[in-house]
Amino acid sequence: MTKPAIEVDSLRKNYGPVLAVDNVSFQVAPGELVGLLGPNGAGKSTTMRILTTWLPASSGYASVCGFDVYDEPLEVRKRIGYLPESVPIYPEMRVEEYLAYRARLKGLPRATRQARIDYVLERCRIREVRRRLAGTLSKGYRQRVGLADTMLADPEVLILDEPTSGLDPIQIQETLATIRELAGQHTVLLSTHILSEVEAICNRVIIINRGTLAWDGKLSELANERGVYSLEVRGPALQVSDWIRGQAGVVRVNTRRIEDNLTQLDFETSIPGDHREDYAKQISGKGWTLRKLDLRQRQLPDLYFEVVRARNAPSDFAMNPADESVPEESATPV
Amino acid sequence: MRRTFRWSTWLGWQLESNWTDPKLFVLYVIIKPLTGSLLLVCMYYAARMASTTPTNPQGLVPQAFLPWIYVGSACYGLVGAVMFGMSYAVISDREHYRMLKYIFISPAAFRTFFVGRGLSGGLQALVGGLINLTIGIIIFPEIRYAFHGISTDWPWLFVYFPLGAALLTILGLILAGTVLNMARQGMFVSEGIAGIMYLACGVVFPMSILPEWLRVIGMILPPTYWLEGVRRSLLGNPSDPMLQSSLADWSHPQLVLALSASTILLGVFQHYFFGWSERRAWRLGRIEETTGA
Repeated sequence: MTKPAIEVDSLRKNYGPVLAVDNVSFQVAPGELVGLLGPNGAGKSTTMRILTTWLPASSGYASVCGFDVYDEPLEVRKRIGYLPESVPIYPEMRVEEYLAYRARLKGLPRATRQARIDYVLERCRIREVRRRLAGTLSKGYRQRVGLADTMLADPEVLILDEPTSGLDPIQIQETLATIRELAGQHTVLLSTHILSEVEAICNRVIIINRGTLAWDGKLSELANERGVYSLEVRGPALQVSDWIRGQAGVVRVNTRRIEDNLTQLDFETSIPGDHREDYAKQISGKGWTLRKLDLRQRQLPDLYFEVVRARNAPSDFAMNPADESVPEESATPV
Repeated sequence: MRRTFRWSTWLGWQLESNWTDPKLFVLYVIIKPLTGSLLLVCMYYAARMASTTPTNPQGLVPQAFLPWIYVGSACYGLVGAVMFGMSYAVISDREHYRMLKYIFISPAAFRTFFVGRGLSGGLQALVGGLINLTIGIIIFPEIRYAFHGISTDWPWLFVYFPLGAALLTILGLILAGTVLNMARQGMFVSEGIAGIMYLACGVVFPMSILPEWLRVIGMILPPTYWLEGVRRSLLGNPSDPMLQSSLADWSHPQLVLALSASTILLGVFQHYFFGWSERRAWRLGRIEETTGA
């Protein structure tokens, strides 16, 4: 088995009495592009800081490329590129000077240094500002200079905290394309609040909420998970409601009477696959009229809201089939 | 380590010179120490004139006092630049540039980074000090006379300079390690220590005029030995009792021995202290803690 590029095991971090990270464990394989999600204060940044050796963990184990972040921080630092959310740069330096300084500090050999600087200038599309003073750059350019710095030493692992923060839509698209290209050659751990970005480029998502690991899986698995059905059936409301509850695998039913004898049913089923035709046949067989039948596969925003809300307010969001208090939730990305 | 040292020195130079026009920067390097020294010159003339009486037309302040404070002031420029340059690098890189955490997680030796920053300040102070002395010799007859009459003891001067550089670097690292675990009050600690050294080490106030308890403090502080040694190498042992420090009876070898011993002891202390301080700052998140200082 290949050695994981990132390994986190039972990680805990306390800030005094506050438990920021609580027993988080995950592994990231070499070349994987993983989205790290979670609300503000969930523990994402703390986890990233521990991985970058910026902060020590209170307990547990974390390693990068097989090197313990606590015992071998210098080896870890040689192998990571970290882009913080707010990129610090010496404002009096010119972009190229700053990158040259960072390249030297990171120990890039003289023979390849300039070529590498040229490469990241090109790759991050900052060639046009290379002679500009860093202090005069817009937030978008600063962010891209930060990304260029991250890539300078061609590190095995890239840890990117909000890499598209402050970029315009075109720059976001370009930056995401760059990050996607980096996957495979580099292991990328990407933290962001923009779910559509993660959906667009990540294969795997880790959701951290209230310091604990709330979800870890591949986005492709979501498509195979239960779908969300929405039906409008004209028929006796009570019988319609009883019928849907009697269906195998149906969970989280939400019924709403639209008008007399017209009921809206929203539910999920734990049995994979598309059951629309089956439901349509049954409704027709009972002599009811089907006005709407829609299946929406669960997407990342659904998962995110479900996981985060379920943990933040368990009483509001029970996963019990008998519980009908399913809040209507939109799939709008944040 | 060598790489970090080289590039942190370069960085310190760039930050100090502020990427301005080189001619403007040279002017700054000269004017900054020169104005500090001219202030002392004014003080000297004021004190000399105030102490003049009909029975003592030369005044109570001896002529040799001017070169004495002039050299002390030039040397203190080095103390400030190296020692306090390092602790200032902690504060400026953490609070102003917010780069300290970024440097911390780069594959560079953290301690060496501060040494480099201190050295760049030290080199500027050295250049400034030399220019300052040259201008003093040209302008003031008292200083010209002092240097003319005495042949500079170059061999001892070459012993004192590397020893002093090591001592100031070690003291700077101890101070930087302390400031690493402090927030805005770190600046006050630096300034406070600078003030104590200025007062007690015989920079501009001869130890002979200090109260006994302050003289004891001065004797404890190793920069006192360095200042005494450098000054004696340049100007010889002062004949005027007012300018004679508590170390007047010490020979050069004794001064060098005291300086070496205190440097080694402080070096050992610094090795453990800075390491402990760095780990503590890391554990408590102080590397990135900003307080708007």
